[in-house]
Amino acid sequence: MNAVETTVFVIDDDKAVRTAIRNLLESVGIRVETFNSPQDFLKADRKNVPGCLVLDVRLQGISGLDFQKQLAAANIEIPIIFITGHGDIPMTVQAMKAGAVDFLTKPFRDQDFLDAIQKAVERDRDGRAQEAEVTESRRRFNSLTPREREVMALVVAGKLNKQIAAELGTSETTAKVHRGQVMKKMQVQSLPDLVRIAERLGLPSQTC
Amino acid sequence: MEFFRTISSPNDFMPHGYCYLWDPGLVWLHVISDFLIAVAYFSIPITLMYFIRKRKDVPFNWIFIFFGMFILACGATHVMEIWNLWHADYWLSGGIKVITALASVATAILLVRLIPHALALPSPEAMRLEIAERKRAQEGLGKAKDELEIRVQERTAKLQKANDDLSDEILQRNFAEEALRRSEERFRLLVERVQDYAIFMLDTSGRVTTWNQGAEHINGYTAKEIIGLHFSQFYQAADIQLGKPETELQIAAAEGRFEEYGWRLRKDGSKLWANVIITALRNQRGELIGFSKITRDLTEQMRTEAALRGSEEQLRMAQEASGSGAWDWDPQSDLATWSDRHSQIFGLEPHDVKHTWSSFVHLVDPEDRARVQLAILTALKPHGALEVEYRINRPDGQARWVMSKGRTYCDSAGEPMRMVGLTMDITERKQLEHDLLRTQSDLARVSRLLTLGELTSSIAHEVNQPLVAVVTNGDACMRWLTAEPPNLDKVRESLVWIVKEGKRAGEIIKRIRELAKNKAPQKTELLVNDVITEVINLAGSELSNNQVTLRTDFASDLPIVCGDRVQLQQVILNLIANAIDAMKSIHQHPRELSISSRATDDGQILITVRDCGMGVEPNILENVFKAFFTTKKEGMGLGLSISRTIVEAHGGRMWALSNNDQGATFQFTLPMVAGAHA
Repeated sequence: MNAVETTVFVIDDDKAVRTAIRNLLESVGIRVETFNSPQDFLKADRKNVPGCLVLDVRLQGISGLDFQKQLAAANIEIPIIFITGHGDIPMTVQAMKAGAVDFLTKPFRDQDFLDAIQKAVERDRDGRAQEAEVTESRRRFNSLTPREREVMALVVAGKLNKQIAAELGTSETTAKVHRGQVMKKMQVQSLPDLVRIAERLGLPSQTC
Repeated sequence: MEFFRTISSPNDFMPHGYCYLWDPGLVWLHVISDFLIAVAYFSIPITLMYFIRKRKDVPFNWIFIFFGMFILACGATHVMEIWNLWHADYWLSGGIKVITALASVATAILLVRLIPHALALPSPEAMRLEIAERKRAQEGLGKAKDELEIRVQERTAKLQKANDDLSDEILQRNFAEEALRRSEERFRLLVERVQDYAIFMLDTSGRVTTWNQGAEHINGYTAKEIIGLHFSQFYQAADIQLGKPETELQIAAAEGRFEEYGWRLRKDGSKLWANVIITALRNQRGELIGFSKITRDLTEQMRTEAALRGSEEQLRMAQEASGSGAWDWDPQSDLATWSDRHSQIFGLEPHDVKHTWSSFVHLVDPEDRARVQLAILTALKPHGALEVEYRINRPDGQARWVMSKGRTYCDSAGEPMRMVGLTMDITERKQLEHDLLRTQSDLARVSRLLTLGELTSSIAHEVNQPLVAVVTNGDACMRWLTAEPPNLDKVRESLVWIVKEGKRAGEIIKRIRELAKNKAPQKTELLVNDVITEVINLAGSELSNNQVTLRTDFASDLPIVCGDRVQLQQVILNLIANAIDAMKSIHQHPRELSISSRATDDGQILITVRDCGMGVEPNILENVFKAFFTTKKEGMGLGLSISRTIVEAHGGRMWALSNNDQGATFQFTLPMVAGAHA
């Protein structure tokens, strides 16, 4: 684990607990930032580095699950590890469905906790990589001309050049040129790669 | 002479001598005769004048004046006769004769008239006889007189002596009379000026004859208005019909005196309660001459006495009803008087009525002696009031609880003269109180356990938190130890935390055990904010669990209160648990609970717990404090009832309010310890 590049955020209103967690994480060389409340977390000037959030289910004024929703709504994507005093199955299910990395019951085994942290940080790192990829793809997509975007949509939909030409009311040669431009601008070698990018960008896939 | 002749003799007539032919014999005859007549005539009036002046007793003496006058006039005519011998003044002579004639005629007429009267006068003979007789009588008298003279002289001497004695006595008597007069005057003034008694006299028929100022003051009539009127004026119509005024006079006349207390009327018609004494007045011969009546206005006194009797009666009834005994202690002589009932309460014979401080203290349970004595001594001051509950050990070995109440009465110098009061047996009440207290305590514990049960998960969390800290720090500690090189600073730091959190867990468990334990309430000096904080620490996770945001606003510098920590925690715990329940169904707005404390102006501490839950209908605000009243499905309806009991046992009050926006507010007060400040 690249400790320097990662930070674990801990939100717990019990100072003893958050200090203990900080102590444990620091003993394995992980950078930790602790917060008393979700508000403090939101207000803080956080470094944009891979990491995860350790969140107590019971928080003053707001439940950990509600805060999870709030973060999603605010497009703050950070893997969350929930810790709770008592294992509540429905709550666990709800949290996992909403994308929690893990749900640990206090007191937890240190190794379980550290594993969960590692998993979460990796997921964040993956996510960040994907996020970077998508951003690049979007930049490339934005460089396409409107005609090229039309052609790309049809290509991704699995249309042949002939079909594309017919659909766009142009010659097959012209369609072929456009297609070449798309592949070049999007920097893909194969049709499956283009389809994957289109999916990531959330483009509407037209199927016959 | 010539002149005279001219006037008196105008030469018309001849002087009278011519008639006599100037015969000297004849002329002288006439002259001498007339002269003698005239002298005689002139001498007679003088003699008569002399006579009547000397004998003024002569009757009709005025007639002598007339005689005198006419004789004088006759004399004058004779003088004129002589004059006319040489002088022919016949007119003058005639005029004098006219005067003489008038005087003579008048005298003659008067004399005629006088004669019958004159005849009535005793004749000198008769006079003489009578005089002779008188003379004889006088002679007899003379003799008797002589005898008398002697006796008179003797008597005079005696009388003189008596007179002298009398004079002395009169002198003395005058002195006595003067003294009596003065004394009577003083007495009269005294009677008249007496204001508080109506003192007046009646005649035998009952009519008012005198009237003093007191009577005017009491009855309202002035002397002028009432004197002469019948004294039945002062009686009520009903009494008059019964013939009371007359009866009273009869009794007074028969027995000498009549006295009664009764209603009388004033002039203005108002009634007065009077003491009336009627005394018969008799003269030396024992004849009834009237009555004296003395009336005293006792209206005010009667009212006061009636009021006093009323309150004494009330006191007696109150004593009987309460079964209390009365005592009266004179701190100066250290002697106390106990009523029979008081002695009975202390297990003594009723005749044991005399007590002292030490004999009383001896009966007080040794444990309470100091307290009782202090209470009495503290109350021993002007307007001092005593109220003390204590145990006594009766001579028969019975221990009883009693309560004594009393008041101190001081003289003007503030020196306590008396302490008076009541004592009642409160053993049964004490027993009931004790039972009640135990029942309340049991109930409170049950309620506490129920509340704790509701908070199980919260309590588990509270215990779990320090355990998490312990375990996690322990794990970290191992890693710091196994590191290369081991980070001993971090190891130490971790261990400090482990110890601290271990203790914290222990504290929490101890507190929960206290809440669950069946322990007699014990009052200690507390800081309200600490008590609240401890409860919040226990129930805090329940708040988080239910997404309740807690806001606290504790006034710093609050005074100390005296109370049972566990019970007060129970009250706050209960209010928090209720608030959480009330907010469970709230989703449309954040759940907020605020707890605040502050000192009020009237020396209390006010604790407010406010939620934003479903609230309490204003019409059931009071019902929520009733036992077994609940709006919750699982509730027993005891929490608030017990909470209020606890607060009231601490001398405070508890109430509920409905918030304007949403939710309910529960408040309670606690009295602060006098003069104590945190």
